Amino acid sequence: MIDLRLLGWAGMDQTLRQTTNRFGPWLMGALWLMLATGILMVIGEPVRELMTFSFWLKMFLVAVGTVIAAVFQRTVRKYEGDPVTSVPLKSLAVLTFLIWACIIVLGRLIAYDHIWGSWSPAAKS
Amino acid sequence: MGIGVILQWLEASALATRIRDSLYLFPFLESIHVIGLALVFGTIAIIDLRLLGTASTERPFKRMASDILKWTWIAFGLTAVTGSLMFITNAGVYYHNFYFRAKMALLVLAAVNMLSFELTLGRSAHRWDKATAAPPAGRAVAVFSLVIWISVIFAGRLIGFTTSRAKEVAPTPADVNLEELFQETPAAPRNK
Repeated sequence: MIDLRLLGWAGMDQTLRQTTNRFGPWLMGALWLMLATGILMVIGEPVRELMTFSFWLKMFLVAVGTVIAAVFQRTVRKYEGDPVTSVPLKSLAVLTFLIWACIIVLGRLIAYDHIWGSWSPAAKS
Repeated sequence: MGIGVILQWLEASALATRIRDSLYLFPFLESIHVIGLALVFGTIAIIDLRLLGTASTERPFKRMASDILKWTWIAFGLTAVTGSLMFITNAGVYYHNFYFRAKMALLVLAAVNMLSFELTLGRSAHRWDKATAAPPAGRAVAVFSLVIWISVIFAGRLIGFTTSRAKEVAPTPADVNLEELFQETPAAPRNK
């Protein structure tokens, strides 16, 4: 929703600040929930998860996505009241959407890590 | 023509064969399906929480609905298309799978729930548009909606764990001794 607001495709009756105030806490809550359930799944099947290329690339992107979200939430007050958002902010929206989409794809690919061929650590064993 | 014939025809179709034979297409479809369902559930939850008076209470309901629900439908289209494509690769198995049937029944329930709202309270929305929460019937619809959609996601995930295809796709490699990987000195140093 925040990305759509940045692009001007939704929530244009709200300021950017109102949008991040509405969705930011839910975003962080959901992130913590996924971290907790994700850790449980890794503990459940450590080999299946940790021995995959997809898992580590996904973790890297999660770290990048989280840092961007955290920095953005701290700096958003600068753009308060901007009805139309700037090109850099729109690019940021596209970038973060792509990052999180890749994270979802990679998450699914953990179960199909053989598609990476020799890049998959499991294949080297 | 019985349903069995239709299912067989779907499975034998060129499109289904193409997806089955590809290493990438099925996981790709699954991923798009997950992105779509995240958007469907996320946007529906935003509306439901608004009806319940839990979040976005300062925004008029009708404005939110027209702002957000178009994205719900776009995302639902994505999940429907990718879901159908996954279905035809193994139509017979999915059709007889309990969780697949449960999921389809829940989707019908979600549609009935949505229609019951749109045809009644939805039409008088201008009367409670700016209220903190919807009237009791609207709040009930919102609770049902959240429960149904969460159940849809659970049932969907269980389809993957209860159909044989999932077991075929990710087998444990026979030549890898998993116990060995945890030993400090592997019996045979061949993992480099």
